[in-house]
Amino acid sequence: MSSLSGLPRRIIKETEKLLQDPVPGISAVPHEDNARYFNVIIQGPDSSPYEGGTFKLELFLPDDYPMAPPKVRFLTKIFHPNIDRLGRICLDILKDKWSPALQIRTVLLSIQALLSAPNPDDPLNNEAADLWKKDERRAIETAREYIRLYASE
Amino acid sequence: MEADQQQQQQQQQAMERRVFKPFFCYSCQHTVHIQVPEVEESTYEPQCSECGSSFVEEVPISRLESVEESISPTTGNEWYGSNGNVEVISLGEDGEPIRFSFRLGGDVGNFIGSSTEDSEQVQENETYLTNNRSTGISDFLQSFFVPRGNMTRFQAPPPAPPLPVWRTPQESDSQIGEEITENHEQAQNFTQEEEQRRVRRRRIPPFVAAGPFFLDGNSSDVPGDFSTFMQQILGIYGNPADYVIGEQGFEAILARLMQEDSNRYGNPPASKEIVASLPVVHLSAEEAAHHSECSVCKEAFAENSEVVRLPCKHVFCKDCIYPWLERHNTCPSCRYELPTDDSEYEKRKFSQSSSTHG
Repeated sequence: MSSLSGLPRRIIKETEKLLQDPVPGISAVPHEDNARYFNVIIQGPDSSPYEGGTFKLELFLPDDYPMAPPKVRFLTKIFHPNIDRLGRICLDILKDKWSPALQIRTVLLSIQALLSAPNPDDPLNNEAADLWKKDERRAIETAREYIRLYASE
Repeated sequence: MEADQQQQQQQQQAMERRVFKPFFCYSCQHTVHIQVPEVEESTYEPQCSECGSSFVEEVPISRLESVEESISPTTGNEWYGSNGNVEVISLGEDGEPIRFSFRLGGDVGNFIGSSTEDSEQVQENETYLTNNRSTGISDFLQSFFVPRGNMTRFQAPPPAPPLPVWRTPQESDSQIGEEITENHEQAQNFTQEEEQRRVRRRRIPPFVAAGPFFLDGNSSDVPGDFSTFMQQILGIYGNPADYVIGEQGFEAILARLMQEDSNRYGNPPASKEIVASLPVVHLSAEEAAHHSECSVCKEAFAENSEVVRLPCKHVFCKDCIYPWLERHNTCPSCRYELPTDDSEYEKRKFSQSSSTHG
């Protein structure tokens, strides 16, 4: 665990808490070579279009964390109006609404909430957003199809 | 048989083992850490962990850690220099290093840690740029993207995986930031091999985000002189030759030029005057219990903890809140906004609040 030396206390504390007391439906495990890089798994929330899906994400704490937000990206392909083809997430707290009082836990909870409440009015993936607005039923079907193809375990 | 299998298994495991390596992403314009197979696979194409672009280039760790280490032909671009000499070593996609060097105009002093090993060769190939300081600097910056000096190829051992390439001399006349399609047209005159190489070569984006001192392409437009450059980038005032800047300093410049500015998003910094006037108080036992912990560092407050109190009554450790207010004017806990020194922002805020009330 030599990688922990030089790591800010706050990151160590957050990591310990995440491992000891994980958020239901979310796991975040630091990489053994890099304590600032987390492999994240989020379960699609119940009664959402993503129910049953297992989504992998990566989360990276930059040097100036918590003054700057963590960088988070979906690794699993997902059909969602606020997540683009590259897995980038449109979420205000990851950009202009970041606050150093937020933490890994709250960020991941927000992403989980985004899965429950897709917002086609603030799109990052136009194809998904357009379909969501035009034909929500078909959009949800497509999201499920993506889960069947890419996010099933 | 069993031993064979075991060996195979071990090999397989070695292949699957992944390590983090620093890469420079040309799309994001900054360094990212990417997981790559520990054992180099020629077919493996690393992708930026942030934007997914595969236009990334490994940052040689040897450069980051040790000055003495000699150039490894498999690690990509390397920058060297001393006494105003700068040498750049880059890899062609055939794995052969392309080496070129140039000299900075003016009295730059020891810009980078010296690498005496290669100094003879440096002198051989060195191109003396003009003594006009501002042109020297813009050429210096441009040279990271468009080699302009003499280039020599020399034999190198094993071929490396494909890497983003520097432009060849034929291209060095063209301006930085030019679209690859234009290059395509020009390329028709070249041999087929050259053509293929060009197709694979991608556009190297201009350094537009770097700051006001940089201009893409037209070096005659360079505003500001060398001392402005030193002030803006290094925070150095006076005669830059009075300062010795080691390799770390140079790395820092590159990092600073390349890192995306995290202050770009969000609210402007809090007014310096207001921040200086915020009350610094010592918590009573009761207050310490009430606030429990600093919401930035998550450390528990104790009786007599020295804290800064914002007008919204939230309290934070000094070391936690000052760096934040230097970036943004909001309370970390409730987003209460302190005044800023940004008059445009204040105007907008005022008109917004009056329109919502009206």
